[in-house]
Amino acid sequence: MICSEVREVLPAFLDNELDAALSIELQRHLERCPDCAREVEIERMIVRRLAGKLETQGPEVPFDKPQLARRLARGPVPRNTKRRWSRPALLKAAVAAVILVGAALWATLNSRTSRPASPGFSQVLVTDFEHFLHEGQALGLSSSDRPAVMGWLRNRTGLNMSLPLAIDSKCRLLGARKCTIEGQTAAFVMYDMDGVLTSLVAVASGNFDLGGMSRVDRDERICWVDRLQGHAVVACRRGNLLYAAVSKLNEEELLHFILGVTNESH
Amino acid sequence: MDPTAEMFLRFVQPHYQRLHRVSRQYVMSEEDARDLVQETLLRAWGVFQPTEEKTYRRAWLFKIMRHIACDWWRLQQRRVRLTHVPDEELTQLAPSDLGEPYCPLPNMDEQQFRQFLDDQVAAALDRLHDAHREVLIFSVVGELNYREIAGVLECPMGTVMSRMARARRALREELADYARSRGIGTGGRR
Repeated sequence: MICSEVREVLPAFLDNELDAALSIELQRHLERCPDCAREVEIERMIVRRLAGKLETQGPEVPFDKPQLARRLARGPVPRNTKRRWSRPALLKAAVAAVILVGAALWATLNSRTSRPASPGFSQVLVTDFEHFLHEGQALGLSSSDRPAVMGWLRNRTGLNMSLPLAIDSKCRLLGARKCTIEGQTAAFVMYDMDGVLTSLVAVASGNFDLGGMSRVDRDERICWVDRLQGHAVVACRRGNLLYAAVSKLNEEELLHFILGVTNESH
Repeated sequence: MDPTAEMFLRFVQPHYQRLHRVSRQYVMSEEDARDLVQETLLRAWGVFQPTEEKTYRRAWLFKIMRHIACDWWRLQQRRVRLTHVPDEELTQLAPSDLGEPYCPLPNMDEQQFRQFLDDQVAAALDRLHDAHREVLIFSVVGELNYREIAGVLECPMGTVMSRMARARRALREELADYARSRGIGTGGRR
């Protein structure tokens, strides 16, 4: 082993990640090369001192088992309790509430065409959304580049999913992942809507029945809405795909969002 | 106590201090660091299902913590020090020939060198690219091995190896630059 080869594998050696054979070879080299031996010594000292500094940066936090058990028993803090509402956001919420009341009245008047919400497709989506948030799963691609995300999803899922154009500056595309919805390949896209995480999922349209959701007609399109476990679920069919959005936003905001799915790829 | 909670806390206890140490590297205040650990444990508890087949490992807790910190950063809920690094930015990190000699440090005696590191090594770490800082933190503070770090960062182990090698070099360069700029040592090879 020569010095440049030693340097290549030195970090792995220092972190005890080098396989035994190479490690022995490297140690033999160190015995006859004072320069490399010195490098090892310096590197070890840097990491030792770094560890010492970082370990003493804050106080020891006692492992208070009874207190932690009580905290676990209370369950998680709702995600939005720390959210601070700005005045424009409050105004927006008020407008949305008025629209929502109107929509509710409209839905009541048209109840002959509506069906009661029941678990089914929307339950599957909400469970998947919650699972994603709480298990700390990662996005396969973290990017706010809309064409890049669409291209990535097309390659990964084979679904020609179109993403809505940003409805305003507070709607931020975070990224996407491939997932499965009841055994079907699906595209899952995450948005940050003014501090509220919102998912948009696309699956092959023919495989799902929206019978459990309530029908709402918007902009000459048929949409489906539901509310489960504090989440609004909104769905619509476009081309051969079924799009569905899940969020703690209200249904009207979600409808506005999902109807932004453009026709460019349909 | 609920036996499942008992089991969960037994699993968490050996990693508790390490979680706190790593959490301090993600956020700016001790209060946020404690909140980060608490939220990590609550999320982990929410999906903890002890069965004979399922073994939970410490890297799982760090992975959850990292995702929460990324969420906080994205939503700007807290001041997060360690930001999420987009993949495209990582590929732009200057590749270096890992066989090249290490950046020389100015000449200091043993005592001076120890003092210099104690004064400067944490600040040098702060100046590194987040992707480099993160692997060093998981290795040095979290005491995770490369395989575990790859699990936390959700990347191949080869990526961790090369990132770690570059991180060590970058840390060395930061220290050398600082020493040179302040006229510490005599400039000879250490």
